[in-house]
Amino acid sequence: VNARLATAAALVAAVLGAMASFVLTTVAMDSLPDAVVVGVSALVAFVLVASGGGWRVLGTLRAIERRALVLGLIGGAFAFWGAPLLALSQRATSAPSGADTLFFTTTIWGVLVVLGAYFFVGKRTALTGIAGAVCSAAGAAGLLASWEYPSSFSPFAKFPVREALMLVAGLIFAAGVLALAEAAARLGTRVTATLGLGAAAALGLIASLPGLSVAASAGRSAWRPSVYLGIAVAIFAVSWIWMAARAGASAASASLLLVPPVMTALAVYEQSTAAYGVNPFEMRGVLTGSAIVMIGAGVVLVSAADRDDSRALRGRAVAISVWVAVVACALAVVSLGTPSLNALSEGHITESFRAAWTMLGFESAAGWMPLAAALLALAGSLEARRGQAARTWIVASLAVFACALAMPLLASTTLHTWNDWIPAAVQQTYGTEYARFSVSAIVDPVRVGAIALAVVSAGALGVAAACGANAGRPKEEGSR
Amino acid sequence: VTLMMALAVAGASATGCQRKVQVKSGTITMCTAGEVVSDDVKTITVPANKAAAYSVRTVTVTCDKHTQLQALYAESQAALATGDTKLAEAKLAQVLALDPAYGKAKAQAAAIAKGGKPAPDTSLTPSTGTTTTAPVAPPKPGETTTTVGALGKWTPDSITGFVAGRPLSDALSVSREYIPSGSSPAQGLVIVAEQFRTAADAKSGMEHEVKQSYTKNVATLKINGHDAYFGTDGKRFAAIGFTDGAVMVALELTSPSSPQNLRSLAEQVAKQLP
Repeated sequence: VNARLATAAALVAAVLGAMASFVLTTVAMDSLPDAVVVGVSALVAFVLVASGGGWRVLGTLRAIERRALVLGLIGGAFAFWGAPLLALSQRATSAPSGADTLFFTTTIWGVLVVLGAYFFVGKRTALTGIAGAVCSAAGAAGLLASWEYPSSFSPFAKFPVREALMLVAGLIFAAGVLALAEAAARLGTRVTATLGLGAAAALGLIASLPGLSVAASAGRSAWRPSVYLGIAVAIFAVSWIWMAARAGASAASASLLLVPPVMTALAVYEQSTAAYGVNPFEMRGVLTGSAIVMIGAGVVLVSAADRDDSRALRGRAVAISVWVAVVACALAVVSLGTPSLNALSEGHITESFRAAWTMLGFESAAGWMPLAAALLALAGSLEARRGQAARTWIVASLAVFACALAMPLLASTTLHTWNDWIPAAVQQTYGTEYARFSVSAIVDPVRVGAIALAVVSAGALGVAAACGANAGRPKEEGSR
Repeated sequence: VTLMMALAVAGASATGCQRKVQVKSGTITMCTAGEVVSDDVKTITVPANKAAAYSVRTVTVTCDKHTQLQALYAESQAALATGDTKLAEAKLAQVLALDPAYGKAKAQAAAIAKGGKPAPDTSLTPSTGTTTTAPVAPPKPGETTTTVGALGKWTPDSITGFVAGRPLSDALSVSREYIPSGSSPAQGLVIVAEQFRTAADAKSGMEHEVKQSYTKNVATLKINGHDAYFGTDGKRFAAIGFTDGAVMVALELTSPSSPQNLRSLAEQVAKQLP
């Protein structure tokens, strides 16, 4: 119980650290050069961690295994200097929008870590972890696209190069934190965090030198957000590394997946106090998206459980579950390219503009639900057949049903509000009396079929479990 | 599955590049009296990357009928002014034949029929608020025959102490926001000019849109020959409103508090208008 509580506390700390890092980066980036912001925050984080006992690491460097030492140093440089600096260099005020940036620097980074942990770490996590991460990302997209209407969330629509480079930053971050997780398994949290943040601070200081003259002329208030950012980075780094060392990097990445709903909850609370006027949230999408994010993150968390071949499910129902899930996956992929929304853009600036078109599955939040559900169903049935702990595929199956329930609720949530072919003057006045953007959902049989088959697959798995289709059971009965 | 996903997204993206969009395109010609003179707007399907080239243009002109009405009504009022009731009666009869509700024609004709001598209507002048009296003709690229073009004079590019924003307009109104360029008791300024059918309608609009909204610190002013109304909402907004023929002009200033202190600034701004 204590271990679970400690893991839960570390998860909460990592989520809050990641969220504070995002918010404070947004504040700090307007007051100091990017390299100085990242350098100062890494230095502050390093000093905090080192002062907590990490100084002793410096005296024992020679005793540390060289491979672990290198992993810790490189991992820290990648995760806490290279990745944040590259991501920050792509950010400007509202370009990309806050929703896009949050998605690309937390959710997607979390998904990349899960993928990296599955493909490149020696002890593989369950396949359901990847499906859970995809589910969580789909939910996050629906959530962020419901922050306001019309939404500013349009991945790869207005700033594709900047957002692609944020993805590259995510790859660097994933490589870094996976290296740190590997180092932490041998060196422990304190040593790994000190090494990693030390490397990031050293590189940060060197990279900050050209910008120091500009930064020096700024007042003390300009430095304050970067110092606070350093505190947030320290909290995230220590809690993430601690969790990765105990539960694996994949489970620790759930903290990144959970940032959008937690941040939204705070924003909803802030708005409910009426400090900033009318609440712009589309609450149905916000609540549905948040639920899917948390369910997906839950699947990721429980997917770290160990396998036990004696628990493997066998039999016709399991085989049906697998093959139905495969068909569901195929249909879900096809449905990304089938019609999902009727869109209408109208503007009355100096002349009237009116355009109507059909949006495809990948452009709507509901369009990704069948894929998430089908992947969860497939991963759940495969892992059940491989002997993964029952709670893993049970949670995955429950997530399938959640996706099926979420799909109609997200039916009118578009992920592609902005277009480069609509006059900018029209798009910039969306939501005023001069222009509007509206969508209406299209019921697509392929999409409905995909999610229905995913539900059937999850149901078949439940039937198999209920009928006692364990591989080991006949043997046990025979022995009796 | 990953490969299938990649193929599907690539395929969908490719489809998106060749996306077809239904757009509306054409010209609506409206009379300053509010009637649609012609409408050739069509819905057509075009490639998405060409969609921005299509729009619906609204051109406002004074149609033949209303050009004729304005002329006849002006002649009738001129006849009344000179005491020629016979000519006035004839002209008013022609006006009423075209539009029984035009101006004060019906009341004046009735008064003449009873042997009276009605006073001429000075509030409605043939040229006021209209931009062209020419017959309806197809608009040419770049021509400034729209009502907005005429209303544009009320939202000038330059107001002392303010930086002009982009004017927003539709067929019968224009508004423009101005931001103080330096230290100013006002946080912002908005000027709105609205075209009405008649001067009486404009005055009625002023009653409803300005006088009823700004009921505090009321004062009447003379601005460039116009009888202007000053008022505040007692909280944040101060406004000056006046009519110029069938056009109502309102300028609104905002301040964090004490909007009554904006009166002199509002007057200074109003005096920079025509």
